[in-house]
Amino acid sequence: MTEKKTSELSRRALLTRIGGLAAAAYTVPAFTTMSMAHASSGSSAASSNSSASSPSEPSEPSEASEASDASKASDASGVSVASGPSDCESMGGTWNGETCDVS
Amino acid sequence: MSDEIFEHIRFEGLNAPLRVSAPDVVRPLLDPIMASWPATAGAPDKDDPAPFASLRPAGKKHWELKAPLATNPVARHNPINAICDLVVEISWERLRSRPELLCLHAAALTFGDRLVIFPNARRAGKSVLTATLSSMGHAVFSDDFVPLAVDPETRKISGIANGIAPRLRLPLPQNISGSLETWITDRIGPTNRQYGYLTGIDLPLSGTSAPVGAVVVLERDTDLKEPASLLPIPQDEAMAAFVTQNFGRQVHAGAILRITDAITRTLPVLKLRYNAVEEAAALLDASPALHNLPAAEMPGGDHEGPLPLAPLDEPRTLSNVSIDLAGVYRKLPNFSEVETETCLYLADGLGISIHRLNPVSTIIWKLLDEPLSGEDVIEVMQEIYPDVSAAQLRNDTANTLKFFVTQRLIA
Repeated sequence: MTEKKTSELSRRALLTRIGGLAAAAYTVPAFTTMSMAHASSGSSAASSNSSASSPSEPSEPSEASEASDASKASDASGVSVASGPSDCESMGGTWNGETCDVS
Repeated sequence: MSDEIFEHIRFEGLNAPLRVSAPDVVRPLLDPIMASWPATAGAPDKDDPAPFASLRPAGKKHWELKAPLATNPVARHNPINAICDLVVEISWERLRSRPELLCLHAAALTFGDRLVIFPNARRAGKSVLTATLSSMGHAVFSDDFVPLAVDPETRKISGIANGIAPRLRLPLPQNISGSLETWITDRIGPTNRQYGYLTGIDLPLSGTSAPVGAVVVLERDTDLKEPASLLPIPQDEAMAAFVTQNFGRQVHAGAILRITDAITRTLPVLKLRYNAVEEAAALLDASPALHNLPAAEMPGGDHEGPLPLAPLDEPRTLSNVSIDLAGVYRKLPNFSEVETETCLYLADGLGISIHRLNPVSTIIWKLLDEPLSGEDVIEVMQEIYPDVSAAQLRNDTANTLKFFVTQRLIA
């Protein structure tokens, strides 16, 4: 398959395509989903990083997992919301980290 | 049959009204906080859409906020905290009414005739800094969420004023001066022991717009002994701060990426490290880096007209994907990419997601500029990285291709 197709010439073309990146030291290929489309309601998810396999590169935590397990959106932390745990407790509610639910 | 007295408040720019019961109780607290958001109030009209939220007193100490689309559709709080939740719902309703807006979790204040954006950061002291800058004459567009719009004709990127009073956490920090404490305290209106709304300041009317001129990322360090500093940061850091603080994501991911690139590539993007808020505000106010700011603008040739939206009815990722390394993979059309010094940001052509790739995954992405089999990718990777085991390269390449396929970047 590769001996003719990926000839010296085409291999050189492929290396040209990636330019200076070829000088980068090897780290596990990592990809982080930073933001995902959603309707305008509710609060957003916590962030989560991912990579193809362990070990991880220094700057991004990674998991030994398949890429499809990878990324949850780590979009905005949402606008600030109301009460704190102490107020919530005094109202007999349940503090879920962001809001007090006494319904 | 209920004899509850209620009315609809119709805020300018929102599709649906707010239903308020017992307005004689609710509005004296609510109105000062929303004073700069033009609105009309009255009996429900038969043409009114269903209210986006309903607010009513519930007992002597609590108010109940019903917001059908919220994470918690029914919540009961003390009155100030109920208004805090209502403000959140209003921000969502603004986006539902104008889905083409980007909305950043950030503060925004004027510096001259430009807007400086302060993306949210944990425990950064954003609200006290906002109040302090307000005391120095900077107009507060928002202390919490900033809608951004791209003018379809001029392509300028502007922020839009909320017209909602800034909210401060109480008590105020101990390290502020007596004069600032007095200035703030004199202007706090509705309050409880946790929050106070700064209603005694002039706010731009909701809907007022100003071009974005700079971004300042806040880093508050309560152990910092050195003077506050304001220094440029790499584009990658600025991109991450901007993308992750964008919420209410209905705008096409590619458009978000291009707007973020335009802002972070062409405007001053700075990091403010500080401990004492007044020193930080004085530094910002005096800094030449925030004078005569440029106006953010989309590059020529970018998509014209209103910003495109993402198809929310599409599955976010593809499932049950398997990778055949002998198969040829090609990039799907209309993706957007922004390369920084350290990574590559990538949005799929449908507009669903934005991803950040590290250098090695970027190499694999670039190799696919033209259709290539998985085996060919692995062969080139082996040539670049002869010291890495063939098994690892094979496994990592397969997983990366699988990620690209699940995210609709290649097929």
